Amino acid sequence: MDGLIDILRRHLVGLALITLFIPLFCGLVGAAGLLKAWRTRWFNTGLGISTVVASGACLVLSMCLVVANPSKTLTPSIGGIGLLIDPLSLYFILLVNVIAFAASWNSIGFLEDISFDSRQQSPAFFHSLVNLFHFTMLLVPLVNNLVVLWIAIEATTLVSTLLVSFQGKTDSRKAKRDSWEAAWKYLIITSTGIIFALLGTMFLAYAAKGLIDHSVGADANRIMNWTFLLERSGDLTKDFVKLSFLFILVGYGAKAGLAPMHTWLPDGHGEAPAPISALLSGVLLKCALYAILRFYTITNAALDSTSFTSSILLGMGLLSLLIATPFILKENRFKRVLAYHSLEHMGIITFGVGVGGPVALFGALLHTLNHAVTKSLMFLSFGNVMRRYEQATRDRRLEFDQNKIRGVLQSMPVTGAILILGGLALVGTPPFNVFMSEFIILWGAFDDQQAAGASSGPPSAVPRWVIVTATALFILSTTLIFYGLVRHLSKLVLHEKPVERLKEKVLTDLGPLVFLLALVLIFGVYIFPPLSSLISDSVKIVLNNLEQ
Amino acid sequence: MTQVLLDLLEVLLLLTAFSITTAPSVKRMILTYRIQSTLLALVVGLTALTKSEQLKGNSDATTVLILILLIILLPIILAWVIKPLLVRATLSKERLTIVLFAPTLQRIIRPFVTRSVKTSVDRSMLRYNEMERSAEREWLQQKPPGKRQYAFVLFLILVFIAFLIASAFKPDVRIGLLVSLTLHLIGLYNMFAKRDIISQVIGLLIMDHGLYLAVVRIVEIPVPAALFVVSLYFYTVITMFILVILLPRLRQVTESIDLFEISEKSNLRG
Repeated sequence: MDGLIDILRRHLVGLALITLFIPLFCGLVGAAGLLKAWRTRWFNTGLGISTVVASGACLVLSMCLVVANPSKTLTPSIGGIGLLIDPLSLYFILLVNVIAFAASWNSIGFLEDISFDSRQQSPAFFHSLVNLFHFTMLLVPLVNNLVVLWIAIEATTLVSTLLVSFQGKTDSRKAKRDSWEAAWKYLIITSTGIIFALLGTMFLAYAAKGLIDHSVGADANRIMNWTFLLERSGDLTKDFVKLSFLFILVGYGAKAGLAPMHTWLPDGHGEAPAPISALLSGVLLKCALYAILRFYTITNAALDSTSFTSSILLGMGLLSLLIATPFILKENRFKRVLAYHSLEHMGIITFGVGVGGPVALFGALLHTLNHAVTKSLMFLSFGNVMRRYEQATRDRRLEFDQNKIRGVLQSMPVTGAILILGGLALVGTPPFNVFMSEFIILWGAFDDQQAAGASSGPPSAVPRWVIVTATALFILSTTLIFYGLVRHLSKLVLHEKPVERLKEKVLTDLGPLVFLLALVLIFGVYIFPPLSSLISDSVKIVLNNLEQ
Repeated sequence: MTQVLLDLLEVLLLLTAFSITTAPSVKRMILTYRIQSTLLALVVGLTALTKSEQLKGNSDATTVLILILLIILLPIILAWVIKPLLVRATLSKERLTIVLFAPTLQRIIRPFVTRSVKTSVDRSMLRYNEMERSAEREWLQQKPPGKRQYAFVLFLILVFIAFLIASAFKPDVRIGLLVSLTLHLIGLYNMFAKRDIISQVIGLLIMDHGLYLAVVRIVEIPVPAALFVVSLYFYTVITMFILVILLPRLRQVTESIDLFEISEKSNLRG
């Protein structure tokens, strides 16, 4: 085993690059499907299968990367672009690949059930975009330069906008209108936000102006590298670092769906096809969070204190939680309820990062994975339910209304049961995974040693009473949200009258759900040692105390 | 002298932003936007002159000039495409090439080409003129929403907020940054306070201008500005994506450019 790990470690950079380029290659091949000569059924089927196989291969490779975790930072370079491979980036690569695999698998079933009427609404176009989306999301944790990081995040927006508006052939004017309106809101709000992120990055460049004068040769070219800025954080101008962090938080916060810049989230997640909602909620939000974490580390190192970042993140986390609560409690379409849940969980993660310290940060990072897995499970399950109910109502020549879906447990027993288990997991019921990470975050909030900043990292100066009040609000809103989701879920899955039994395909419908459910159940009681050590090392990266 | 001229042009940029916000018609809004783009190109050009004087004899001088020229291109491109693209987006599914190049071909290239090409250019121009006339009837003469009486007070507040941030910076970049941040805030106001899609797009474009100015004024040239220039081009691709793909589709399915009307009929609430 040790020999194998040594081999993997030796080829770590190569493995990471293969993981990155597989989806890019598939995306470019898929684009050939837009040509008329290639628009054939066999090509589309082959492309669908190769997308699943490719994302499966990426998942296996990322598990190899996790096992081979070098516990240090590697900074290789390809074509003049600096890469960054450290435990934190490996963790996010794993997260992207887990969800991309489940979503691509589910896409096969999704595409089987819809028809297409144009080149821009064809299976090849969909697969090609999904692969390119996968590629851009893998690029985010792998780049070292903060400007390239911005470009990678903006690239995710460009590709995902087309996916949000993807719907196949439809005669419903309302459906067309909703999906393009959602795409419009999504692009306008996130693009506006991202301008502020670029301004924040410029302010950081200004804060590092002194370093350019003292740098020689190669130093000048790597001035915006995360590793370089962290190494020279003591020389950064503090005021501009603070300003930069504020702009970054607004910019990437909009992309991460944090309140009050979250308004695109319910529309984008609610209108996108289910596999895309899973990718948006499960991974895309986390990519923006990853960017915030990188800036968080530099800011704390430059200021030599976490009080500035902690207080802002605590506030934003709580605000997201509190804003999500009434929208989850009120009557709403189920997909929108799930989208508001993303707002809640991003709030929880931000709260955990705001609390700071190794325990809460461990919980926050674990929660990113747990939320991604559970939320994707919910989106994919509900997506299957919507497809089947839509087909059934179409067969009866009636108009489909997702608010009228009832009795899923009777009509689709396995999917219904998975929805119940996923829903319970999502609201933090023990012994599921989300409970575990939420519990760790709360434990972190009340850990005295951590509060004193004695364990590691720069000292936190957030007053104790603030942490206690914030935690009380946290518990209150999560309790209300528990009630809200259980109410929505019970309406959806239960029904007093007998309902028609609908088809559940084992391989394409239930396969990805069972895969995700297995992860939800396992992570609730056990975290694999390589994963646990990867998260611990990631926490050290965020706290800037990983020994190289 | 150059610095004074630069500051003066930057103040003019601010005034054009105010003028866009209070424009009496969409047509005037677009015209003022084009003036702002030209002013911005001049600001960037003057910055290039200042920099090249500083770097005389230095090996970086050529790189700086290339970068600055690349930045100048951006506002010029946007000023050129904004009206034809908005006309196309809101009225028809006319081919992009006709919309973008017909007016230019008509004015610049026509005298130098053969008769058959001339006929084809004239036909394209006729189609474009017809589209513009329809736009004129439909929305170019419309009054953009928003209460003008509060606009000046709001403008002053936004300038003050920008001043608070910019005052932390060194005097040589202070005015540039103040203008850049104000452009961002005015763009943001146009995007979220006004209710029509055209104002939203113009708001986004004003923010783009703010971004170009910020790169020129606060980022050290050539390193790391080169990377920031790449990011500016990338962001412009997004803007073009909105104008060329997203906006025509949205207009097609909603049959309106009034966001208020769109949201009235929308199911995406709550």
